[in-house]
Amino acid sequence: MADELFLSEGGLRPLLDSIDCSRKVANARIESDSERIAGTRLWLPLNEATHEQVSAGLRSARPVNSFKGVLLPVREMVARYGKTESGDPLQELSGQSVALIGMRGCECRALGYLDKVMLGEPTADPFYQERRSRCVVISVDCVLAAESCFCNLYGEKAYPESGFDVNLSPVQTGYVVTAGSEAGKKILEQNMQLLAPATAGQLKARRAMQEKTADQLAARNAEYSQAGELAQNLPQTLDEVFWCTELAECVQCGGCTAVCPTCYCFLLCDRQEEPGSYARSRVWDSCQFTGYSQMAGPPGTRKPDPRRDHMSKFQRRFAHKLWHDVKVNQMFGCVGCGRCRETCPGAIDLRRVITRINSVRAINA
Amino acid sequence: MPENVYRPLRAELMGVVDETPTIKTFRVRPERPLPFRAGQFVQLTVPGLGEAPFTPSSSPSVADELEITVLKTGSVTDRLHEMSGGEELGVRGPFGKGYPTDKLKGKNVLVVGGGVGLAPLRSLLYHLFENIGDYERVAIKSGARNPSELLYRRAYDEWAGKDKVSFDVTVDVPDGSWTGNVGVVTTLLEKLDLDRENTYVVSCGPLVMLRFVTLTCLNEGFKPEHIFLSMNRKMSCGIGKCGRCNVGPYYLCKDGPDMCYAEIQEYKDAFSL
Repeated sequence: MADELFLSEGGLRPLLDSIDCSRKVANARIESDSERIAGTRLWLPLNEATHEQVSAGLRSARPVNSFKGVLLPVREMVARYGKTESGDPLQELSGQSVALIGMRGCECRALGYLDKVMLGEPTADPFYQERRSRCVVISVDCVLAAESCFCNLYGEKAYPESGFDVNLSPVQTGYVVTAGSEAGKKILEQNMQLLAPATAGQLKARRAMQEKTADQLAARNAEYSQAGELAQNLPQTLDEVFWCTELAECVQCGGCTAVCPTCYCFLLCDRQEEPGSYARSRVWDSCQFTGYSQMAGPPGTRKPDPRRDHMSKFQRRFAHKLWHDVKVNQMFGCVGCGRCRETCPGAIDLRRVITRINSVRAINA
Repeated sequence: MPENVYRPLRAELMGVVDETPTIKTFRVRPERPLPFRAGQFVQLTVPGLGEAPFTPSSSPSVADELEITVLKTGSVTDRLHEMSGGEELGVRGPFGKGYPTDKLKGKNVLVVGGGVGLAPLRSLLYHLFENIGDYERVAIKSGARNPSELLYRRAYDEWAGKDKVSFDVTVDVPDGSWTGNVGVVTTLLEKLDLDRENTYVVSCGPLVMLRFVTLTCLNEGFKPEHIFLSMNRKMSCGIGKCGRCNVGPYYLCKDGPDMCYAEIQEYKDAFSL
């Protein structure tokens, strides 16, 4: 089997349909008469999207939502206890598998980051582990970058370099296809009737497409600073005035953490299902919310909270991703997808914050 | 299929001891033994209501029954304080690294507790007492708001009488019958006859106390690398996944809950209230 194969546009759906997973989600671009939603790019269940929507989704900028909810649902029951010992929610995941179709380079890196946290010491999160162990990643090169995309500021590419099973590089009449794992090779082997060795012209078209996206990103982000020594600079700037002007725009809606592909905070909540039987669920949480870090205290007293003031919550998000993660995970906790900028009602732009951190630091140095 | 770490082990409340007007000790027997190292913590479930993190106050050499000393201060602890024994609870754990008992070997250990903060430290004290040959000297300094809030008062004479162990106690506000030290616990930390190079400080209490214990110890010449603090944070998962118990880049549930001061001093929210 050649390393680089060609899949025609007509072969895409049969190839995706052949993937043996109980659940498949894919990029889709919504066509609609309603101006409000026309052109919206979303992760959707594959069986709810037409071929045209998926094809258009794969050739558009990354979806506005992230894949993370597939592996870490917004809310899920994680345990039953008490009288009912049956119906352990973890057992219910056995045999389930999922295919993520249309993972971008940034999302493959975000998945690698989530793996580090969720599968890491001291013990793996069993629900994430179960879903991840039977997860097929079909990635795609970005033909277009969204307005707020900035993976290039981290020196990253707009196409996946690792972390996928099969990668699709859209070219005019189809896709240049490569396998990134043994599982991916197997998927391609089973679909050889749809594939042909890629021609020199198709590979040239891929290179041209990748360069065009890189140029688009470079031009779009020309005014912003590269990450560079960001992790060293950030701790030195925490008392700088620019943080106050950024903070002034934040309404603590938590949108940034909800759309972020690497934010993983949750809270466990218990309830009684029936007398003697109890259920424990986990629900997404946000470090930006009031009460997130508030501890118990007697009624009528000010409860202890190490991040009570808005600024400490606000800075935590940046410090976690751009400083602390570099220290403990040897990578930025931000992949530059720009979804936080897109969703923020205050237009807080991580690119601008990075630039301010680096420039203030340069002036003070 | 991996084990479901979010499901609590069934546990029975075997008995309750009144310690002070606001603190009780709960004897909890999990359905199977739950071995822990001193300073590791468990998530104790009140069924249907939720969990709260506690470091057992009993000896780490006893795994089939844990003692958990609890201050009445919130929804889970309020409900616990209404219990008298026989109730069903749940327990998950143990979590965290626990006290650095290996580092303490051959050293003096200065144990500083405030209020209910003496509870986790008692598991360390049991460990130190049971292995006293491994340690140089153990100096215990304990403080409480007033004499009625002194925790484990019945044990003080026994602790003070042990070989290689000293014990001092103080209260912030005395009552008519109190004849001992008056002042915050840091007043017991001045001019101690302990070799600074050869002494580790282990402290647990409210954050404001930890802040001043640290300042006093640094002023007294103890090394930042030798100061271990049981930090306080809201916790949920216990396994470094839910994100909320951080001090700087560290998650207390997996990297602590006892943190070396030298590792956290650069993070400005470490001692925020």
